[in-house]
Amino acid sequence: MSVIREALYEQGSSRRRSAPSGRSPRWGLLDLCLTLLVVAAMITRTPTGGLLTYGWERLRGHSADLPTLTAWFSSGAAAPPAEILDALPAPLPAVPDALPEPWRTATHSSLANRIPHPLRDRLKAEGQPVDAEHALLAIDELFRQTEDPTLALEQAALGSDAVTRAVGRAAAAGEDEPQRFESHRRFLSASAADEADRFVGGTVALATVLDLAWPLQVEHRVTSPYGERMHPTLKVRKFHDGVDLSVPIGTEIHAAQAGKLAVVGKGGASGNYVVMDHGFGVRTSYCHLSETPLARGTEVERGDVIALSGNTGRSTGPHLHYGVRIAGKTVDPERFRVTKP
Amino acid sequence: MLRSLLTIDGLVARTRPAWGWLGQVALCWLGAHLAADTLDDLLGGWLAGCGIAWPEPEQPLIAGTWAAVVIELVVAGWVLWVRSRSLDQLRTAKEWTRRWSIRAIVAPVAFGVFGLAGAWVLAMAVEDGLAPLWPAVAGPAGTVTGLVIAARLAVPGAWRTVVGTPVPRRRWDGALAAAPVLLLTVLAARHGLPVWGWLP
Repeated sequence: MSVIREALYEQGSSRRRSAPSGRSPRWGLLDLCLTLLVVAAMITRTPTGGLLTYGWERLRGHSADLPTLTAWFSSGAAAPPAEILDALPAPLPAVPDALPEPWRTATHSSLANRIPHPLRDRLKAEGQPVDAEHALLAIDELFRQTEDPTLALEQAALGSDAVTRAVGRAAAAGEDEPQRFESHRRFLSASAADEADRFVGGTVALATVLDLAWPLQVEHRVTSPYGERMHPTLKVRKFHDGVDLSVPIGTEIHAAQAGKLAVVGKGGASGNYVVMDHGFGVRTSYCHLSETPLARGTEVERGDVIALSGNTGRSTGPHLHYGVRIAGKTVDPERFRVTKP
Repeated sequence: MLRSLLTIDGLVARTRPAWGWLGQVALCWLGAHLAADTLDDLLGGWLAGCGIAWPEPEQPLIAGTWAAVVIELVVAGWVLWVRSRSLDQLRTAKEWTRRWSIRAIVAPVAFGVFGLAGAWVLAMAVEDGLAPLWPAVAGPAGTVTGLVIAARLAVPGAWRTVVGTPVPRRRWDGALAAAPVLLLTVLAARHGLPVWGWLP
């Protein structure tokens, strides 16, 4: 208790620099070490620290890039590497009791790109070759134990101990469903969270987009594909970040994947619109709708009707604008259509 | 050897007013960030539902994250400002009651909660850092580090904002900053303290 009492009286007072007992101040080295530890953590873990580092570098005359302040906010979102998205993997044959499809295909594709260190160490310790095939079998084994594909991927990427610690902390903080990656990600160490975002986030995002359903179940045609185009109303060249699908007003729009309605909005160029969050940075958007009967936050299953198509906003005729984003980056929705019935 | 160490310790302790505030402020910034990290989704959802005609469907979510960044930076500036003004040495509760203002009430609460949340961040960091080397020691070492930081930096930081309360110009001094500060304080208390899981 004397440690606390002295700290209360000594720290930061400009008028009184000794403890009430009259003894000389103590614990200076301890407090200095703690202060250095805290300041180091603050600099590396907060946007304020990033700004201070940037300002310090500029004061010293060094060139420094202004940090992306939103990067310190946890999302669990990481786009799979561009080479994986550019050449989508062919589906693997289904294996009983192993990771289900399309998780297995996505995981194999990620492992072919990079095998996380804990998994690499595990394979070496077991005397197995360190390649994507054996790493996938190891994750299949983890899946049999956990029966949760995300948790199996996380344990493979970080090791079981790190995941157990984070789950325990999330439970102590009273988070709902601490086993879920989104709930305990904030409680991983900074390096583990980065690794989890890259391997787990990237793999789950890939599995999610490989399993996207098409939002229309009626005959339709693509009137404007993804990419650079002459804008039909603005008459300037503009990047089109989705596809336009010509359908009559009132056509049912189906959820491309299970998830939550993150945004239900109206007005502006998009007219009435819905943005769905499927987790791990995968979002789909549906614009120019006539009706949006579901409220923001509603959880829906893959294929559920979420809205009716329309001709609202900046539109030259009845159509659905359908967009897909992974970790904030737009991708061509038609690229993921081929895998769907 | 011990005598020399104690002498150096005493000398360093005498310089504490020059740097002690830095640890307290940095600790609060860590705690405030832990809270702000839960704010971006809340703000994104609120912005999406508040009736603004966004040009692009994704924009309210992006705006939510940036709004969380701005609120965190505002609160960080407020923490630094409040700590830099808390230099007096009140001796009785009566002295404090003559000086009370909104800032005088909000500051100790915010410093206490942010400081304790920050101490937990450090406890987790120490545990994670030691776990690969000494798995058996990592957990207790993290807990001890968190408790020592709470005792030496977090609680004294909050106490300093009480005993160092400056004379306010008006009773409602601090009202403007109270909303974002209390918002992050509530989030830090709810999501940044390892107590809720133990409660029934």
